[in-house]
Amino acid sequence: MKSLVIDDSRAMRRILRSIMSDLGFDVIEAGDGKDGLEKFTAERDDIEVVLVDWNMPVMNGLEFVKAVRELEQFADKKLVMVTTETEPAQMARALMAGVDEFVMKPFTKEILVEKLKLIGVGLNTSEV
Amino acid sequence: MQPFAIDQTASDPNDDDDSLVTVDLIAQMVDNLFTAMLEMDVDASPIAPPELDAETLSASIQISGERSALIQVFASHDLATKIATAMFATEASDLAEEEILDALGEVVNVIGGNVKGVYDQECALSLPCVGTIQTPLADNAMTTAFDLGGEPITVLFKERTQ
Repeated sequence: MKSLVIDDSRAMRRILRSIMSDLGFDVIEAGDGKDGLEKFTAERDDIEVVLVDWNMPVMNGLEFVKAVRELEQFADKKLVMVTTETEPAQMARALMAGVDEFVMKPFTKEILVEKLKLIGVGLNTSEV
Repeated sequence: MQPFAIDQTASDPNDDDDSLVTVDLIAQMVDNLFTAMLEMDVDASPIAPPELDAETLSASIQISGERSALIQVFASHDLATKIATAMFATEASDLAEEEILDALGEVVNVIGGNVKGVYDQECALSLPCVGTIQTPLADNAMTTAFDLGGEPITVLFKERTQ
């Protein structure tokens, strides 16, 4: 069971890696949407959930989500935006693009777990 | 070492205009970040901003669009190290210098994003920029500080007119 964490901040990637590892996921990291899309494509069969930041260089999170959702075979992949974006209009754009759930920064492990459960992502419950 | 000029009282020059961002709101953002996410001991009651010297670390981020603003966070290297230690759940001795800077960058990224969220308008958030203080601080900015584990962390907010 793998998760892909896409964030230009090494700090945030490290935080998310730590949480997702505790939840039983093998974590793949990417530093921007383009890098993320390449890693997603390469590991798509094993990746259950993607945690993606919005505000990134090269390719932002919204562009990443649109690129993934354009491909029908990825329709079942869960995409969670981990972001500071809180404006309703921005959130609506992301939902329209195909985001399954939002996690607002700052967040706690408990909040992330709750959001993952909401979208039916399998967790190693002994660690939750 | 030449200290940088900074008003030594928590100030809110935006009190008289239509700014949506207040000292109380910044305090709430700082409290949420450090208490909930990093489980650090922060007192969200504003304190007088400390004098900043050339070795103080600075992380800045800009909002541009229908509203424009600059947000900067200042911390000593020791405090930035403590933040990184909490953020990465590791020992200070295991941290690389760039990880300490990353941690402070993430602090301003979260606060900047929260400020952007207050604006119900089309805006973009820049990427954070971290380093030591290189330029004079913005004039007429809202500057406040908070006690974070016994050390001050300073937040500067400056809204720019179009």
